[in-house]
Amino acid sequence: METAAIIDRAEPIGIEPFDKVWGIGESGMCENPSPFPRVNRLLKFVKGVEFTVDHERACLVTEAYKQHQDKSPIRRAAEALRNVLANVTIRIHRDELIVGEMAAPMKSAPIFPEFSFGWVLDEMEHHPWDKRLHDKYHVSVESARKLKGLEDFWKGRTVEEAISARLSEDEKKGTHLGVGIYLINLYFFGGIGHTQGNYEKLFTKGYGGLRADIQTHLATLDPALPEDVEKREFYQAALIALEASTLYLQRYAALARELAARESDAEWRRELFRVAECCDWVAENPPRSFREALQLWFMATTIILIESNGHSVSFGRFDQYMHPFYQADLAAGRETKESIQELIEVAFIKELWWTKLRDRHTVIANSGRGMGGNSMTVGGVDREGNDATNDLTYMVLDAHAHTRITVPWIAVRFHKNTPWELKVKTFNVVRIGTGQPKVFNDECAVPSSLSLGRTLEDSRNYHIVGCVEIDAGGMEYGWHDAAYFNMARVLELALNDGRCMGCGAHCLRWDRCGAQGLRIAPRTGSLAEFTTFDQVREAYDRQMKYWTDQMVAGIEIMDQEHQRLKPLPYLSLLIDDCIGRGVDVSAGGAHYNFTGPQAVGVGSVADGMAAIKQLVFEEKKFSGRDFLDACEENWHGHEKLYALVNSSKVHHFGNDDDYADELARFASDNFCKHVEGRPNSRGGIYAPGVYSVSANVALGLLQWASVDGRKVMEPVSDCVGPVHTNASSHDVKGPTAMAKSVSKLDHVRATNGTLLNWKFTPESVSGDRGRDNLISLIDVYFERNGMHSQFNIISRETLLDAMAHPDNYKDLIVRVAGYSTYYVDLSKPLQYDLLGRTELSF
Amino acid sequence: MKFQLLLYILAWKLKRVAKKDPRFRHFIESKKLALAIRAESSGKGRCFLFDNGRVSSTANLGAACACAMVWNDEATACSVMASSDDEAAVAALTEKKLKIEGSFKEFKWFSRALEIMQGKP
Repeated sequence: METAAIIDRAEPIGIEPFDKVWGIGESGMCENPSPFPRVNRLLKFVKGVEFTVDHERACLVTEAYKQHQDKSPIRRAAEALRNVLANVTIRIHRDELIVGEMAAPMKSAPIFPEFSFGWVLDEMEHHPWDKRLHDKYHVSVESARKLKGLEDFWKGRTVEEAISARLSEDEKKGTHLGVGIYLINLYFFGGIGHTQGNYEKLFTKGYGGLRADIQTHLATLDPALPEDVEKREFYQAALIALEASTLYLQRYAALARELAARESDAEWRRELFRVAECCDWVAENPPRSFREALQLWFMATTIILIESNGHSVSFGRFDQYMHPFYQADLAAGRETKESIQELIEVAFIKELWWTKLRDRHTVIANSGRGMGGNSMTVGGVDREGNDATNDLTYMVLDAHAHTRITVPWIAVRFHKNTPWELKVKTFNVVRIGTGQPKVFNDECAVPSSLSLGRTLEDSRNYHIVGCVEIDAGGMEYGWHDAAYFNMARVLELALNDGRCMGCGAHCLRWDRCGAQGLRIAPRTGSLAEFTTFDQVREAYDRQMKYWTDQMVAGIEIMDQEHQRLKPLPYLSLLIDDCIGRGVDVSAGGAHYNFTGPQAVGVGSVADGMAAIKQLVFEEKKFSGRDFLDACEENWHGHEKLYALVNSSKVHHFGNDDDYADELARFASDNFCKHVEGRPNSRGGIYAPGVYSVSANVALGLLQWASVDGRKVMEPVSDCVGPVHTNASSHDVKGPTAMAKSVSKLDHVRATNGTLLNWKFTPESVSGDRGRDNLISLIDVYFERNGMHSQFNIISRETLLDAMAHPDNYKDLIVRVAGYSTYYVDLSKPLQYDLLGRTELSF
Repeated sequence: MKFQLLLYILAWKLKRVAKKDPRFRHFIESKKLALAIRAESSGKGRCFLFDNGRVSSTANLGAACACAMVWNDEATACSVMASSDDEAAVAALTEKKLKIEGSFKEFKWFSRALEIMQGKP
């Protein structure tokens, strides 16, 4: 353990030298990481608080829905928000320089019954959250009783029930309600999120300015025009949401004054008065300082979360929109670099206040208890294409090194003119081993964004939403995680004539499907009868068309039900062009409207196809029937074939081998072909992504054995990475070969993003040489048009030891995929997936 | 001892539900399966026999089984089998504290039978 200190090795940028080394593979296991005592104190305090579930938001929303049943859905939603913000209990803890809560105490999950409620009640009764293996939450007897008391009202009124009622059997069978070929459960059970408020606009106008805008629009409406009547509902709801937000800030101001009056510690009393002044001012006015901007930024984001239940509500380009305040404060002598650094670090810790209760199935593949997805983007080019790096770019990275927590999810944008100093800083932070930050390639992301129809300026100004996704901040509603689609299942059905491998009475659909002699998918031929590999490709293409049709139909039903039942008047204030159009963001009010489902298992499809192509159609060593039987029997009795498929005697993706890489490209392109450009219910189009985040684990649990050498329940390949099965890692030629393979995919075409995970041993990236190797590797990957990378710097031995002695590794943070969290808090399937990823070295 | 008792109770429950629950009876009516549950550490366990709607069991593990659920040790078996958390079994399989010998499909069938026995949809 060590205490961090500022070392003057090079000229500080912000407050730290750009080349400061914080340790290699140390992760979060460092006591007092910050040079600021307040930050270390607050960190310790927050970490010690247990996770709970809170009833208050649910009760207040229910009360408002009951009271305003006669109102339109958007007015009802606004009244619900007002009731919450006006009446929910609020608190301020010592050392909070920035205040605000998600309508619940610190680390307490509010409940959102308007989206889904059945699972909450079921789990509360039958699968208690404090008895989970991980992702535990405590719920008090009182909270449980109050939540139970809401059951009758919400029965039949939730978004989930409305979606479920509209889905046909064909649309259900591929989802979590069927056999899990694709998962749409994020927006089936919860809010959308995956967006960013327009902070620049908010900082320019303040809530008062937004109110004036709306009143202007209201005044111009023609009450005789039907569309204006609808707009009036929107504007009136938006005004209610604004009034509620102002009130929420004023309540914190009043509380801060009340606490200050009783406070004996002079320094904390002074801070409380500053909190009060700050909240009072930004309750109505544009911020005048970094601190005021930060307070408004935090509260504005928090209210989006309170309203929408969506995660991945992201922060956008923090170093860009905060920089004018930073410069002005320094010039005026209001703040120092150090005081601003401290504020940023406190703001990071404040994000630990937020948490989201997820159902017991979701947490197997999405463990961690974080709110999820609060990405913060720094670096990159500006709207004119020039390098946008500034002091704050570095200070954000330092703030992570000084806090070593899982939030925010920092993304650094690289481009061809990124300063060497920023690359050094970025990879020194990466080498700490917390999995932060992720790095993005402007040279790929900007053209990709352009291909989707965003303007050049908006494309250059992109930020990252959630785990992976490119987004035009403040003007887009991207539905970025609309579905996770398992391409490896499509291959399975293409090889097995539309029938699931392992079909049997254990399947929940058996009575309606297998027992009737039916198949889950159209008949497209069997590998046992195919005579050419082209027939495999054709069958795959037909199955892909069929399943993407089902998926899109299901997503559109979800979209329409969210529009109908859960408008978002507050979020609409912060997304262009909702106010101008007078249309809610959920109904297409945003400037850009996309829908982004992701393909999972590109490596699994590539290796499965390569094995068949090579062994069945070219070398003819095994028959198609041999492969089908082997998979049906989970490779039991087929050990020779299992060993061969998992050996380097067969072509595998990830080794710079064109044979397999071309098949990975086919898989990726084929998904994009069937998804891209389809219209959505908000007037926008579909944008395909190719990444799994951690859904490869969930989808693997739902899949039988597969021809790439996977056994039943093993994860499919993660993101755009190679296959690793329980038998072996299929990439054996090192990181450069992997980079070359993956960069043969068309990342520009995957407009909703791609993700490549890397896992290095600490030894392999230590020293200046290790750091420079890492930088060179990513330079090569990006020069070859790779889009995005994330890193683990950790050894297999450490992971094994952490599993054996979890108490010694409570602060060991790892990169799962898209997000970082505590390794010992992960589900076992996730822990093993991470363990199984290929350990790379130079 | 606790492990064997747990298996005995499971066998009793299966027999009972086979007589009383039409849904369960329908599920097992045409099934022929011998499945063992045993602990590797002690070698003890029980064999469950499904024969066209009839359920029986024996502590004699000599019979040829199409599938065996092999637990590392009795304590793990007891804690997972008694858990209300479905994830416990997934975790045990992942950690290889539970291994499936023979047909995985028969293991899945047996798991589904247990779900129906518990009244799950």
